[in-house]
Amino acid sequence: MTPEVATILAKGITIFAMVGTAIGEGLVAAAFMNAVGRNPKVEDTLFSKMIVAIALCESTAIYAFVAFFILG
Amino acid sequence: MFSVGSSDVPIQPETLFSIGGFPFTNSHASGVLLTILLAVLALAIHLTFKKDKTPSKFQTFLEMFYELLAGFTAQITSNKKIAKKVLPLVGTLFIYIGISNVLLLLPGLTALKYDSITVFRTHTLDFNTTFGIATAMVVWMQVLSIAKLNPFGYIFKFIRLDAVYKGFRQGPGPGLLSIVDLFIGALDIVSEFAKIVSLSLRLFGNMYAGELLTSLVLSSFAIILPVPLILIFGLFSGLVQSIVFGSLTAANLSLVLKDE
Repeated sequence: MTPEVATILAKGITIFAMVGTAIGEGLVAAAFMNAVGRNPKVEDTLFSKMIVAIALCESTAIYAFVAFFILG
Repeated sequence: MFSVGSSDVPIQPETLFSIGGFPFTNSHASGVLLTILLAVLALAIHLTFKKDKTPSKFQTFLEMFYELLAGFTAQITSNKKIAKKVLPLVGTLFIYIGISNVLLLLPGLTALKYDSITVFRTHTLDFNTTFGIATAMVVWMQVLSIAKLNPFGYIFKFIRLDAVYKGFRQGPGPGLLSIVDLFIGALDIVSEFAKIVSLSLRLFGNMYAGELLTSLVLSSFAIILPVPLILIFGLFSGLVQSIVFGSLTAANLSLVLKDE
């Protein structure tokens, strides 16, 4: 296992961070849908908070993205 | 099918010239440009705003914007006194980071070249910038916390000997359970450093991802097709990331300044 092969394998494993991000953001969106379904009046106040929460969930995927480019 | 050009966005910004051994990079140049723009705006506000006559359209627009910032900060801190205290710093963060993320989407600014190096590069695309801002915010939080409790109270917030003492006074069982409080206090120290890293890396990573994907898309497609992608990755995510940075700083400051 030469260093180049190990680097490419490590870069491939770093991509796996996207799985957690997708699941987490799906949960946030599902909670938003449930809340709006029960009480449609809160849609305007909750929408911008949902965007901020999704940006926070995205942050660990962004760390993995930066690590991907540092490895290569 | 279509050839993707090699995208090359260096993580370290290129130096334009050196001032006595200190390199002046292109993100410094765009930082200077941004500061000059904001200073001109502040001067325009100071000279043309009237308090007792009918306000002009510019003044009304900026007052609406100020209401938006103040309302958003009050929502996050959920305490109007703390919001009033925190608003100058948090509002500056919103405006500074928001404008610097978005400024170089204006056409023409990246075409200026000096020795075949582009003169202006997005100010937050530089990890030094975001790390500096995040470190300054976290150090300011510690300073506020030391000012509120005295320095010994601040140190004993991390080394929870008082919780251990109270636990052992109740008996050996709760005493051993309160040893966990010591570990939680030590973990608080790590979480302060983690705040610096996460704040800076989130902002830098989002800007870097947007820049890289923009350069990939612009080298693969042409004419009109890149536009929606640039709007999403550049404009939208830049504004959202500035809101996230500002609101996280506001939330942390309100935790420090709680029960006032």
